[in-house]
Amino acid sequence: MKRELALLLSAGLETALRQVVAQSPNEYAKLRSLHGKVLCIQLSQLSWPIYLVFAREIQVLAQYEGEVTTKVNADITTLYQLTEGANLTELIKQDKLSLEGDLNLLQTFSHFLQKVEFDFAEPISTYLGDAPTHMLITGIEQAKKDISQVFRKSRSHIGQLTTEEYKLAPHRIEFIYLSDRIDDLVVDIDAIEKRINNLQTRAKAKT
Amino acid sequence: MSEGTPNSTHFGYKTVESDQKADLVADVFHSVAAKYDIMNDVMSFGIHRMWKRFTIESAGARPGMKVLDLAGGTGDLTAKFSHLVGDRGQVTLADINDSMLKVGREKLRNKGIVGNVNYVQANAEALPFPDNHFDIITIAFGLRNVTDKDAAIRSMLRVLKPGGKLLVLEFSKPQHDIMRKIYDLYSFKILPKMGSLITQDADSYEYLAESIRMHPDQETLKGMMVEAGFEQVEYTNMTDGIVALHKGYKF
Repeated sequence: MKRELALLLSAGLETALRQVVAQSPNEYAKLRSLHGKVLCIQLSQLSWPIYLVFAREIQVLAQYEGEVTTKVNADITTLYQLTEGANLTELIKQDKLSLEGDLNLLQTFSHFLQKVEFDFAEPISTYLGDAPTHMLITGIEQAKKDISQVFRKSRSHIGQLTTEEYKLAPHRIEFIYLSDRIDDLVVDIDAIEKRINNLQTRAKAKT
Repeated sequence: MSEGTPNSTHFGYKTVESDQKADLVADVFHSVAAKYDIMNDVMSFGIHRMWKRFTIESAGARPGMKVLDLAGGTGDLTAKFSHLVGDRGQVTLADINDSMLKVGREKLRNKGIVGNVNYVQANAEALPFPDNHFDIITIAFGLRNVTDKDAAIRSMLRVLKPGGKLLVLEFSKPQHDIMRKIYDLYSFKILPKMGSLITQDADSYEYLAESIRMHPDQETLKGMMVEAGFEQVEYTNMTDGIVALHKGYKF
């Protein structure tokens, strides 16, 4: 089962990367120097490594016996940060990512991924035509906006419901008031502690 | 092999003269070449891509290697190998059938795969290559159609470098009875109908189903490879043994 899963994942990733390359063939052509190099990614979430073999089309394999240029051990979220432009050396310092071999390869590749701009409309339009694609894309964008708005609204709604309606949770101001009173209490306790200590030393001095 | 007389062999369930089989197989592939790829996808529900992908991964191709894709047909494996072996490597796509070879060359050229691929029309029983020449030989869904399989395996051993490996991807015997029943129903009843719908050619697909049944099962093929002189021969069943990948080394 694991074998099939690994194969499916490789196939999916390869197709996705092919789309990425197709999105910006010029950018990828600049990466000619990467051809023949192999990037091995060991995700902490997966039990098998992923090998990216750079060629005219990036090949994705789950097992590779040849020489690996760069090996990366990382979390999937860390890798995502990398494609979003996080600093590579910074991530290594924070121990979120460990790397063996050529650092250049990973850097070049992550730069490439940052530069790629996804234009979903273009490939879809060849199937649907321009007008329906435009409607579809704007529709999806609108839906995304609406959903996030509903999400935001329902969050504030639930907040109000718990504080105002059912009084399950304290209101923000109540909470601040409580915190303030606790602070006062702490100050008072400190004062009393000091006084007790003073009285004790005085009593000891008398005896 | 299970041939009746020394000069006869099987063509699906029919027994034919040995020297006729090549022509009969050729006819089958001449007639299906144009729609070979689409039929593969339709008939196997796309699973053949997974089988081939596993073969590629098992092959362990590296930059600079020489690969022979025997009976490579329309070049699915060749395309992948071409990317993996890089500019210094070389992939040879060999097929006995020139219709298939033409379709394969057309397809690969359209994909922009030109630099490191050669095309050779060759008979697997007598490969036109020097001894100790290739690092990897693959034969995917091709051995079944070869008249003298033992001669073909010996010929592959000859052209393989010491340390090189042979991968045979071929239909085999399902491991469970229930799978066998479903598979029989599918390949004898449904497949020829689909074949006749898409390519107006039911006979070729009837041959396909029959030739799969006549092909040696996992252990027999393993024995044939060992007998020919391959070492560390092992096989992996895929999709419950409908397809098996045999792997053997030459040392």
